[in-house]
Amino acid sequence: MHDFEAVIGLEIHVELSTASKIFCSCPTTFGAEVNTQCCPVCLGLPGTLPALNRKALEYTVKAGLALNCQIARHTWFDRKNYFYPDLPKAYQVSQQDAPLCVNGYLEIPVGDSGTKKVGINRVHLEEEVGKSLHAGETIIDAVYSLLDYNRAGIPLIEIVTQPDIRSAEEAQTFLESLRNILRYIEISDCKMQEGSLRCDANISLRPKGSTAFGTKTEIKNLNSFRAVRRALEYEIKRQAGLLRDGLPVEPETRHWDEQKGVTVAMRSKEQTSFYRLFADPDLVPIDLSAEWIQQMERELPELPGARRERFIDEYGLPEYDARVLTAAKEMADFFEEVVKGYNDPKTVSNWIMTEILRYVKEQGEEAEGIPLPPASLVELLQLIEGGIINRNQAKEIVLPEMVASGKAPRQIVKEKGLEQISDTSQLEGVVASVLEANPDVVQDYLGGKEKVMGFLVGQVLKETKGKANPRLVNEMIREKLKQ
Amino acid sequence: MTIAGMSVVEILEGQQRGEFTPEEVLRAHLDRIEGEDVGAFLRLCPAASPGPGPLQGVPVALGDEVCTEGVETTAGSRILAGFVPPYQATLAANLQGAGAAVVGKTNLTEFGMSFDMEDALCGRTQNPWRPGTTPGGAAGGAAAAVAAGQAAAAVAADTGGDVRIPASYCGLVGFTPTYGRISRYGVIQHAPSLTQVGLLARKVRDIALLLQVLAGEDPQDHTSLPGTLPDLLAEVGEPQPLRIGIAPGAYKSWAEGEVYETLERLWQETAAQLGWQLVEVDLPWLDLAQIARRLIAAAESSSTLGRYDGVRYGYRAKDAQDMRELFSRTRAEGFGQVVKGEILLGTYILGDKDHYEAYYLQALRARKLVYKSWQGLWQEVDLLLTPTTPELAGRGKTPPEIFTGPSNLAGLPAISLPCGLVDGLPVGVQLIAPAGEEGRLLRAADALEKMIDFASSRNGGGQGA
Repeated sequence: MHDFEAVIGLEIHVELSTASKIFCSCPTTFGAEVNTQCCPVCLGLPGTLPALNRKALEYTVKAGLALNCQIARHTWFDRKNYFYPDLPKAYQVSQQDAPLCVNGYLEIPVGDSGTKKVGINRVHLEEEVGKSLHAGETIIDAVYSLLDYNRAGIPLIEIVTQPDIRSAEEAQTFLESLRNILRYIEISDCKMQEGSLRCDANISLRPKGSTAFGTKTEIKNLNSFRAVRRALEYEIKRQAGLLRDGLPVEPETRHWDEQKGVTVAMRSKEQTSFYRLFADPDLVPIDLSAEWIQQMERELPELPGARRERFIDEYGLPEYDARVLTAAKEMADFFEEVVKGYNDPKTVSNWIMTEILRYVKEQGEEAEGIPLPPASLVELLQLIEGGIINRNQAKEIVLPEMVASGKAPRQIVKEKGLEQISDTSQLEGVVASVLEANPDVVQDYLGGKEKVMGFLVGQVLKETKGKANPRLVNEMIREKLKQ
Repeated sequence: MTIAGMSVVEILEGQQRGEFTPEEVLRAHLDRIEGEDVGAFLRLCPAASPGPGPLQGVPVALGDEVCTEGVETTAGSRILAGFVPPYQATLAANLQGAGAAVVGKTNLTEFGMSFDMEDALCGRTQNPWRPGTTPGGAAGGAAAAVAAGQAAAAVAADTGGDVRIPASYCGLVGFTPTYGRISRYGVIQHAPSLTQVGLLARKVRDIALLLQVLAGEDPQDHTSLPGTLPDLLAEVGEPQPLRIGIAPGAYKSWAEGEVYETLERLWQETAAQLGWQLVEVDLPWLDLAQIARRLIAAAESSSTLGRYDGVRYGYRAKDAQDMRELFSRTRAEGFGQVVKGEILLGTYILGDKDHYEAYYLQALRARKLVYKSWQGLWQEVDLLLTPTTPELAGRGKTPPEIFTGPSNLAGLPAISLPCGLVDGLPVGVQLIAPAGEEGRLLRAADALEKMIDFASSRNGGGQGA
């Protein structure tokens, strides 16, 4: 029986978040009414010409630098020619022979504390095509098809990894790390459900220890990180089954069926065509100076790896905390903002990693960010420290309400009447009557059974409907029983 | 002297002296369009009106490949029948901004993809010098319009001689500036790397005036040249001592005898008076350049014309059952034979790795070689003087672009001037300059034009105005 190793490479398309399209000044806003964000240029009307958006070039180079790539000093665009209704010029402006960025890597976490470098083969810049909606399964058997050219001409980068990924889980981790770094450098919102990040996976198996490559399949229609992982897990099992039975793996494109949880061979593909690629004569070749590339490098913000190290050094956080907090830019930004107002990094980190993260995760894997402003968490922590509310009240009552209503913690505490009673004169009577009502317990305590203190404090809390400050009650009982 | 048939300079000066108004100028040209049908125009611009500016009242014709907002623009193809651009070509906007009156859109071979005007699909255009004879192409309509006095000047695309060849056949000045000098935005093209927007007029000074208005960087054209031109008209004046390259060997082998003799006589008679030093050079790469230009044009056409698929605008095949049928029938029915042949050739040479290596890549190498040959030539000479076409209009034995194509391969400025008549048909002389040297080129052309005095020879023959 062979033990197989998976060999996985990813091809990721990312829409850049430039304000305007790559070759014209149309906006790139997602979700606009169909065919309202297009012009003669992005519709490829006769005689129109592309005017390169410099920002798209900058964003691509920044992506390349963040992924440790070499940046091409001389580059150009090619035309990739094919006929399809959503492709207005019948060619896509892309880069074949001279990608802007090559030979990089992305370091991803593996296991509890290890890391691994996944090679980046290339990052190149191209234009997005329009969107087709078929009244039927495919364009061939559709009764009719509708076209929306809003998307046509949005700048797109294609990131191709080396076949360095060895498991479905690693593929998911890679995508999460990639998404994080691209969001750090603010070149894309990377939303898979809106299609601004899309992924195809190439996968083959080989006997463990072998260095040769097996026959690969390409999986398409992966619409979430979870789908990437599940589809690869399925495909590993499927290919392993074939190989164990001595059957060949067909080199084919397979479609991930999310409902059924299987990959299926796509209808026999159109004969793989040579795209008649050649340098686009409408765009002059681009020469990038070393100074300009350095400028781009200087403009890069602190990247996740560096930030993780800084969190350990500057805030004294454990490695684990630093890694979790820097795994999303929003989270790391949130942490630093809260610490500015409440200077106890470890307490803040604990709150974020346990309580806040729970709310983030509830929003799904494409969380828009933290569901409350940093100032609110600062206020909440101050309320606890000041003894106004206790930790449990903060977690169980105030925080959920803050997330749900967006109200300030102080206001919630007031509305719900949660202020702790920290005034001894208000508690004297209650403490006295609890002690009076539980003479046996008091005897136990005086006999050395310290543990029963919890019961007595609990009784006081019960009488005050939880408002009594437990620390204060504890002190008062201790004081009383000393006498 | 009638207004229709005047040069741009004459029109501007006449208006300035108060001899006639811009409206009278326009009327005179429109009358000539109605009166003398040479098949120059595909359609007139109903809103043509002169405005203030350096070209106030100058009636200009545009090749139908130039997009005009609100006016049907077809580039001479059925596949664009009924297409009305919602945008203006930069050059059309610049002309109107300078006060010119765009009178109409002129005939051309389909997408400008043949130098033989007989290939035009939207009607026959006559050479005003001799009805029944070709005006040359692709910009045959533009040249016929100016030669017939229906416009004072015209603008059209040139990918290998499309403006200079008809200028030569029709006894006009035809000019292509350095690649990128005039914006290509809104000009329907088939081979963008070869396309230089060209100008047609009666006199070199007219060209200088038009170029002054049309030259300039256009943010909508990534290949447009930065920087501005000097005041060309002010520079056109005294003859300059120049080294002028001639290649008698190549001219003799490609051009017909009478054309060669006309040219030889010209340089022998004028060089000394102009202060020109003639330098004999060799152009062994002319046929290589011709083949390379042809292959590159076909390759780029096969891609650039892909957009005419019937989905968004223009001709659409009726009752297509699916996407493939829509594409193939739209293009089969919409394109003419010449264009289909070029698209097939281009698809063939790009569509397979072996063909790509053997033809397209070779053509690019040849282009580089031609480019280097020009670089070498400019070490020896300041301008190159050639026949514009190897033959007179209508002979059709030799590729008419043999002398005009090589400058497009390198994006060089070039100009054709009428220099004599043979059998009552005009012969053109071409001057080619290094990139960016429009000033030198126009100065020399202006000086040569004065020596030739073509206007009086015209009065002796031909009926073109």
